[in-house]
Amino acid sequence: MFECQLGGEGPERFQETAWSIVLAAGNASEPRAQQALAELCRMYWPPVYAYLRRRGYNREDAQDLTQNFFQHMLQDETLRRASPDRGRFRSFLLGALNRVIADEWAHQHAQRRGGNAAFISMDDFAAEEARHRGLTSDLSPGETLDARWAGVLLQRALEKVKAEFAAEGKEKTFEALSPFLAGEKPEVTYQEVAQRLGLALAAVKTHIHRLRREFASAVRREIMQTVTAPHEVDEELRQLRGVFARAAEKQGL
Amino acid sequence: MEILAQKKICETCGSSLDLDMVSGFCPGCLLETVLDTEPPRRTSGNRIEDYELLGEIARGGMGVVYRAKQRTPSRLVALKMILPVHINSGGAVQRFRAEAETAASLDHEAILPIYAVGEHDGAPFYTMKLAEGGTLAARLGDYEDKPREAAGLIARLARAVAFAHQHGILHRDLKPANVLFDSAGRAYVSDFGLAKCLQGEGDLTQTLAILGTPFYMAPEQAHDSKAVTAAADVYGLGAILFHLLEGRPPAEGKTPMEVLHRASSETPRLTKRAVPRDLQTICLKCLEKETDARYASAAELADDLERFCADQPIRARPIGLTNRSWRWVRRNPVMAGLAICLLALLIVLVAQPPRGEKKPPRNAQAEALYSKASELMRQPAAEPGPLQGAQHLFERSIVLDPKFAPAHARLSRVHALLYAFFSPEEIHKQRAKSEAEEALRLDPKSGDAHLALGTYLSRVERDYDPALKEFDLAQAASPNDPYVYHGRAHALLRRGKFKEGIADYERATELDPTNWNLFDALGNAYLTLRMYSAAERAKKQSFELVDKKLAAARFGQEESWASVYFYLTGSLEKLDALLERPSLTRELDPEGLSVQERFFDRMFERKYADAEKAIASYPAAIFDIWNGARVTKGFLLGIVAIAQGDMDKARPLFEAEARFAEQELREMPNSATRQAQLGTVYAYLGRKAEAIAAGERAVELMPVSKDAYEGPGFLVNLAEIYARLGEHQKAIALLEKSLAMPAGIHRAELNAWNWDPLGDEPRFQNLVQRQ
Repeated sequence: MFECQLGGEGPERFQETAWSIVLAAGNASEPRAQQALAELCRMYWPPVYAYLRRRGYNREDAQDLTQNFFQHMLQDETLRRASPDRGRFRSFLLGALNRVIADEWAHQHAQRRGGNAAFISMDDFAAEEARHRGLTSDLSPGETLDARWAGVLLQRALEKVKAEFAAEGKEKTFEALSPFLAGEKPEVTYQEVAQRLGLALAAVKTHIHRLRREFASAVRREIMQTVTAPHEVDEELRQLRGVFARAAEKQGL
Repeated sequence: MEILAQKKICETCGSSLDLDMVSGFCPGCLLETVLDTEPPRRTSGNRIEDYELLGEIARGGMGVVYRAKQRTPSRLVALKMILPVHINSGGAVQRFRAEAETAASLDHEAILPIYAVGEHDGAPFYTMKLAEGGTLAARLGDYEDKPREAAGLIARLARAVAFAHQHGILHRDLKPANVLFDSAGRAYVSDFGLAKCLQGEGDLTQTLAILGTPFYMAPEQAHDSKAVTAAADVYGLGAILFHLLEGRPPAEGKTPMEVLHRASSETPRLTKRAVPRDLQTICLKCLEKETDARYASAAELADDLERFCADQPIRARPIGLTNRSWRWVRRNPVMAGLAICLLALLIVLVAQPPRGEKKPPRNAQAEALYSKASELMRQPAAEPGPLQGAQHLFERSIVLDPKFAPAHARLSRVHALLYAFFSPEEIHKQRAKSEAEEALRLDPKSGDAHLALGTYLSRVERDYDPALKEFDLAQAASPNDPYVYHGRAHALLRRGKFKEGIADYERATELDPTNWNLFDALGNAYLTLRMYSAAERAKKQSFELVDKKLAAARFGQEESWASVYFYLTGSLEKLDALLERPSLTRELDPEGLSVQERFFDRMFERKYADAEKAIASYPAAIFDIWNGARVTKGFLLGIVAIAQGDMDKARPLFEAEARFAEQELREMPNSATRQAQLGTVYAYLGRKAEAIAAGERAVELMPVSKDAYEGPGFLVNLAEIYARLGEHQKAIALLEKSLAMPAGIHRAELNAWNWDPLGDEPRFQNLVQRQ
């Protein structure tokens, strides 16, 4: 299938929001919807696992439950249909998960479905589990899900921006400037960065500005994939930020 | 921001960090940054670009309408946001914007002004005058037993619609919800032309899901949503009038389909005595099933309504004898045929009609739109934009002058080319055919019309011999039209008449030496026929012709030029230099072509990790790779894995791809490309019988005997399937065959990783070494 591309032909690809595709599809077998949902699930399984662990499931049970929940989500339309809250993907997922837990549905299915191809690999589970070792915060399960959710999407956005810089051969710029992505960093000054990169101070400021803007826009694009209307992006952002702010209060800071 | 790997709390914001750190950063701080950072021309909060959202006015199938405050100029507006999921095919956002921008140019006292058109996170939106008085849908009851007021309202709306028609714009979705009132009670029509962009291409169910129940939709719109004319808007106005007079829409039903069925089968009746007879006549004339029986224009409807309001006699006649007999004709075509023959004979005997067809004077604006569209057709078709623009303008030209044969002919070609180059959708296929037929019906001798039919037969149906006949007819009628040679060249190459095809391409470039598309096609032909120095010459010329401003098209040219170099020298050096250029931004390459290019180049060089890196972070889940084949990203990652011998990793990726490819094939069961792709995936999965069946089916669908130009590619594909499945001798035999064909595989390609299974075969080594 080696094929050297000639010319610039080919339909342009419009980036739809994955969750809208799922919602708009009349039925689960619609392949675009199926694919969009699968992709969303692949991205956002860690928050579900984190949630279950926080709810007190042991490692093994949480893994089984997560595995079965997602396999079922992708194969069984009734689970999707039954969801009353189909607004945002995050709330939809949580709603479906809670119903599954309440029904003890997953346990029955776990037995029947054992041996199926796994949705999540054991390595991925292990990496996720490592995050929960020594968990000390008193976030509620719901807050845990949200916090981990934010983590997943921020990570993706960060990697994308990094890749964009890398594509322009600017890995070093990214490395040097990324500490400024999360506020002012007192230990490193603009001057130091300017010296390290061999740039004028003004240029560094411009670069930081650009980096922040690109990161913000990447985060918004990520969120856009899980909501249905653009105005929900900022709502989602504020909600997720709220979880961390509450966490801060609980820590007594 | 604090990096606090050991501690559990972020010192800056106090967030708990034991759950999640993002590459060492505190997620709370990162979110804060996002909320603090103004995206371009926008601040955070309930804002969209320059607009502050104050509240939701309405939410429907297609999107949300907000009440919003604009910053500059400072004013309240209505902002309508279309959910991206409804803009579902390639180029639709641009089409939507073009449509909204055209609608924004309508300046009429009864058309709701559009202020601005924009895009927000991929979702198109537009702002318009905020109509404080709500929609007619909420005021229907106000007109109960007030027929004169109803007539006055519809007269005003009909004037607005007539004005739009004069500018070549149809509404297509007239309904009470699209009639708005300002605070002074003045009515406005909103959303001109936008329905067109929201209709699922040819899919009525989807259209209805978006546009809502079609109480006011003309029956002909249900059959062919894209072929509507001004008469459909006349129907819509009549249907609104009917609702005002009767208190219900003309057709009702439990489901949208039932409504449509009734609209096309039942005759509406006005039962209220208070409605004057003349107004009944006007209303029912709008609702005629036959478009020809309705008012010829919205302006005529407005005239009659104004006459009614002024107590003057109206022009419309109650349905009388002529009309009834016509209805009978429609119901009893065979009997009627006989009767008409007799009648026609009588008429001929009584009054000899004047001989020869007198051409109506052309509508100057239709001509102007036609010329502009034709100019767009000459622009580099490296992306669908120019063709879509041309489609839009030809359509408007036809609205102004439905009998304008050349516009029909060229519109047909636009559809055929869109089908062939960009989106092989049913709608383009149908429209390419019906427009060519219409052009021929209107002007059977026109070269343009034969060219259109030939283009349809060859590009869409791939029926080259009948196409060649049409091109010959076109050439006889228009011997100096470069496109005739261009079209014929394409078909000749497919029939294996390479010399004649090249000669036609050369002739086309002589006739129009400034047309990029012609040189590009010539270059590609030389390239496929492995005549590299001639290809380089043609590509060089086409490169020089590309407008410097069209950076994307220029990039495409440079890319194909660089691939010529690869074929000439076997070196990827020029392609790589192009791909690594720092100025290569997403704007230049919106389809991520360079990503694929980089991927395949690295695969070719067996730098598998680099290949994987090239696509891993790219956001698209589906790639367009060759001849309209779409593959999942997983497939590309799968071939990396298999090239590295990691079948465990590749298997689930290929299984997913197989499901995707099966679905793709179900959508277009006769696509050789899709058969071939499915065969390839099956082969990777070791599903031998199915793989060979699919690969053979692809060859059957596009045999070299039918298409000497593209056919060899499918032989190569089958060879790859055989190679993968251990049928080495069969694979090599096919490769030998393909190598002997002018448009077959290039020897340099045999070095690629996918032929590795044949590596130990002396017969294969012989093929490779011969270069």
